[in-house]
Amino acid sequence: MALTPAEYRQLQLAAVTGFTGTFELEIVKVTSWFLWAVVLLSWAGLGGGRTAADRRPVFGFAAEFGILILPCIVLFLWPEQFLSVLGAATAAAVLLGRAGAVGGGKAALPEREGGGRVKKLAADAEQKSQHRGYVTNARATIMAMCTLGILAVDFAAFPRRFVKTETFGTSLMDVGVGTVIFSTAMMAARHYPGRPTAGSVTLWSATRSTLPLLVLGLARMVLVKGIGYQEHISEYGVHWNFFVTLGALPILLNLTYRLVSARHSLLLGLAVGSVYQAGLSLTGLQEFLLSAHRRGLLAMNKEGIASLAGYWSLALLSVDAGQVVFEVKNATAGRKADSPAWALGRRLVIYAVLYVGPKMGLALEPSRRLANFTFVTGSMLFSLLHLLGFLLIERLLPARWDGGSPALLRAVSANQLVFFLAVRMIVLMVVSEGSTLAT
Amino acid sequence: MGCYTLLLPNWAALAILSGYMLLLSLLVSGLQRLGVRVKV
Repeated sequence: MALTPAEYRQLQLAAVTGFTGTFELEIVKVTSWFLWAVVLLSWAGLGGGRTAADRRPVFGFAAEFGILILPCIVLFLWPEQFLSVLGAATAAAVLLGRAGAVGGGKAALPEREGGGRVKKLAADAEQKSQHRGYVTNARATIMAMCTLGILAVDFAAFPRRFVKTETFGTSLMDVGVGTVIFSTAMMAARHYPGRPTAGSVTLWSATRSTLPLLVLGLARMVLVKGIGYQEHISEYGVHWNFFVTLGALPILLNLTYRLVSARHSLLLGLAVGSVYQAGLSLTGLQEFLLSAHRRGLLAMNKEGIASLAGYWSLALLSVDAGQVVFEVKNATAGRKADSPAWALGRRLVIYAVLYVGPKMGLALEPSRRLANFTFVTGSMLFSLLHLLGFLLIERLLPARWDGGSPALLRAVSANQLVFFLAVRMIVLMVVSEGSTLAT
Repeated sequence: MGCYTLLLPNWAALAILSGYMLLLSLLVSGLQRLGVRVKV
């Protein structure tokens, strides 16, 4: 079958347009893979990274990649094979665990000790700043799933119910968008103490830190138009894209915390989300956003601009979760540290109520395109479920790894920007037009 | 350079996605091993 570039572009657009998502439980099933994988690695004594004991780094890396990443790829393409994949991965973990024990190595790719004192100090500082293995695990696996989804969507084997929903519904890729915001904003909690202040971040430094994202957003817009990749303008608008949203949020957070204490992030986030939802439902904003009207620059980018309010709400709630994780609230209030597991668990219940209640009672279906209230609470629900899963594993299983994480996940977490830039370049190379491979 | 990925069979999707994730994993693991961290 020979297709012209224009025909293929239409096919690409049809492959990402008009879908309504899947059941929440199917998304939880697929995204829970990494929890199972970390349990398997820990149980089989794989994925070390204890630098003194690392004698077979290639074996360790292969074991981690084989247990963590490969099964996840299979599940993204064939989610109904979950039990088969779990069985195969368990068998592989047992075999690899025995092979590792015989060979005397239990290691993944280790950090080099001979890298000099400066590098060691940098690594120590990085570890201290993270100092929570479950956070590293959650953030790295969110990044891994998102990068996988970004390329997987361009293959017919990827189930279309996992593709971003057109207007309403929940899909794997929708959840990916929400969890990326959560993963990024949660870390911002470390910079904002409990007083109305800019914390350790000035407006300029917040803006400067977002410049790479804004440049990426601009580059994406130019490249997408240049290579003829499908443009799904009802997602964010004609010029706007996710990088612009991601770049705008740190500036919004910085401005917010100049006026309001970061300790009130939970209430503030819920208030912003509620007011925005009221605007959507009561003022005709939703009808305008879903209409075909695109006259003028603002209307051209109406989805991206309006949904920023929803993402702002999500970022505030994520900062609240980050304050629990990094115990910022307790430190600033001078209180004894509350258990993060209980504090996050309470929030999980709150978000479950605020997701299921409006969805069932008010027929308020989540919408990533609008970033409405149930999308925000649903994103928090999925994100906290993921984070709490890793926290419970850390509590229940003995600490096996340096920094509490398999080496591969530590590596992904430490270099998320490089990871994401490489993803963008590879995806553009793979999906750009001009090849005759499939003709 | 690119290809019409939507028209490729399932086995090719699995192979390309595996190679892609392997490449990314090797990249960040290599950087970690060298003690390099790119931060903005």
